[in-house]
Amino acid sequence: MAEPDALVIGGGFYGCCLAIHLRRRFGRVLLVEEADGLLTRASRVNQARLHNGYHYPRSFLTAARSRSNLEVFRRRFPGGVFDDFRHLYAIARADSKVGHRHFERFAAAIGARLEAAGPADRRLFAPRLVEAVYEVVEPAFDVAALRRLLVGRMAESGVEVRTSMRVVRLGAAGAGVAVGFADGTGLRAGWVFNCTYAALNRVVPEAVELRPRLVHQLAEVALITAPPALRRLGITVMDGPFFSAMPFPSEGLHSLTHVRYTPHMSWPEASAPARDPNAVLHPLPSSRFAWMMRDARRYVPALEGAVHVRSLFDIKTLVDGTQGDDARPILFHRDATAPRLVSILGSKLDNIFDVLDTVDETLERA
Amino acid sequence: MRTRDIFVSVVMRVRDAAGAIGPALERVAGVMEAHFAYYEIIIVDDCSADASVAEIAAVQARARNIQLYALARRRGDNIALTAGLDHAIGDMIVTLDPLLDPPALIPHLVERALDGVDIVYALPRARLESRGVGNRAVRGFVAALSRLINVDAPQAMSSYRLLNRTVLNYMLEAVDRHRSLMFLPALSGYPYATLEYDRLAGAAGGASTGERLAKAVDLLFSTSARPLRIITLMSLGISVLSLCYALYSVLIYVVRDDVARGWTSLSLQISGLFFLVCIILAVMSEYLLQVLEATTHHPRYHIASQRHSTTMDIARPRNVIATSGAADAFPARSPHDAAAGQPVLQQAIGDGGEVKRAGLDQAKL
Repeated sequence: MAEPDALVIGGGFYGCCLAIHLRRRFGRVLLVEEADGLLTRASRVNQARLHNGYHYPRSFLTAARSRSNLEVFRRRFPGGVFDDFRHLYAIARADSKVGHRHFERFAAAIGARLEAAGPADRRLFAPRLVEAVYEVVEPAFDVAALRRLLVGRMAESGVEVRTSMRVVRLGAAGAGVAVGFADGTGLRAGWVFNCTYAALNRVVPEAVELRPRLVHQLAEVALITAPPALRRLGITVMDGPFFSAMPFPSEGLHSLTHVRYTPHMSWPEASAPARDPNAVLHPLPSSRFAWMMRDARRYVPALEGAVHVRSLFDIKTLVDGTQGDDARPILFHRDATAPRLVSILGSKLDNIFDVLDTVDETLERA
Repeated sequence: MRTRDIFVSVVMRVRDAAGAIGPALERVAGVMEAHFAYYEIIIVDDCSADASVAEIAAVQARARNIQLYALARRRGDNIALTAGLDHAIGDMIVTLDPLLDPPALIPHLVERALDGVDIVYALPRARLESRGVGNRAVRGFVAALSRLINVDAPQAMSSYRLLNRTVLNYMLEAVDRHRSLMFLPALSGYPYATLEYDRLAGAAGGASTGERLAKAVDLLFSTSARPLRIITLMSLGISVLSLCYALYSVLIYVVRDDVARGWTSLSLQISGLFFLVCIILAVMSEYLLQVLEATTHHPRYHIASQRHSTTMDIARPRNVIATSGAADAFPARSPHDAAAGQPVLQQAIGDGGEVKRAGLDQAKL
């Protein structure tokens, strides 16, 4: 295998976008992915929500940034945005961290469209538990369309892609980085970008205490066939231990997620640094759909008719200390022993553009 | 086993029970884990001053599906339990006192409910049989209140009971549900079953006499407007008596000539004022009754089930116009004929034979 100028580990949305971006600067860019396809893990296993600010009534800055990111995302990935549904946001009467007046003021402040829902939409919600319902503009993304787009662009720009390649060793080698694969082969790359999300710290050479401190969560996204009344609707109940049921365009189904029941377990990586976080996916835990649906139907009685098709499970990884707020910064970490090994932990799909600028700056300074 | 597909919520409250609540919660969790695939355990902490919350958190680290809601201020048993019921998501909801009630009964309650009843009361055997003052007072109160508000409830009922979601939904409609919590299932009118059980050995005595009295007063005034009705009737009665006294005063003034100076006017003044005051009281208590009804949001009625007639189709009218009675007035055998101006509209009728019969019936008349 000839030596690439830049190697990207991880064929998720961040890895693919970064590889295409790097190709402008480098002659040979190689992307390796452990699974046998691209965008099959965390990029796929989530709500497929393209945030437009509404979700962060307690963080003005995050909300404003989501809104500008969504615009850029629409321009760059027009085919990946799924708009063909109406999205309703409901404010719960009890246990919500924001009231409807706060929410209205907040939406006005960030300039997001917010319209009181019509009577037919309001009737979907139990008035005892829901104090207000709004129609908003917040699309979903179609991960299958994104995959097609990215595969096409990588082919166009000349990024080499190898799937079913697992990296087992990384280390400094001269100015670059030595990479060893599970099949015994190896190579030397000028730069290595580690975009492996949950497996971010798995094979990095630096000492445990210097690595980014991560917290992992085993998360479940239940895929459902929505009852007819909700087919072309997305529903999000704010702002606390509530749920969301919204279109999951790549499968033609709805996703059902619940703040209380979607995370099955959570552990700081420091509690078991040697353990591969992916190990908790074998065997898969049993579904919590029964819990999600029963709580959700209290707010939206029609959801009782939801049919559980299957559930997607994956690890959700956060930087320790950011669980409490909504800011979700992207982690950008240069390895202490191999400075040309950069670990990037993304959070939300549409945040990608922030990190590309940081990558450019780093490469220019080097 | 039938119970495996049912989602059961267990709701309980705790206050200052450090040392006992941990093992009690473990017992409940053990029973639920062993018998049910889908369940949740909701425990509401009524602002404990001791280490109860820490003890519960320790159990949460080991056992699944336990949710703790800690109240910010101490609000008493009924409000704490109401908070738990408000958050329950199950198809069937069991409430119990973790320190008094054995959780092993839960699967049996669920089994009974699956036989088609909506409420299952667990009756503590001690309360059912005991001749002690406390237990007799409870039984007597439940019996009297049931008669007063005309509902059917077992005399020895405790807070250990199972409700299905329909009954809970009925209860959640009432704004003052925390006051009438113990009687709301009975007020819903859904069918119930009972089970007897023995309370845990060595358990503390539950609520104090003072707390029980307070609950009894709350129950009486929240489930029934009878006391207010009695006030109305009393006021009306006294106003009638006042009127009679006024007439009597006038009569005495007229027929007797040894009446003391001022007696008549004083009597008329007193009786007139009492009459007025009592009428005002009666009118106000009737309005208060209506205000009460409007503000407590007790559902006026609750439909237990609906059944549609299985033949609720559009009735097939005999679309026949009787003429002279001659059989040849109904010659049409097909829609085409009917369309050709004959008086029989075939399409409204099942078959031609019926047309004939209908025609003959009419003809006979």
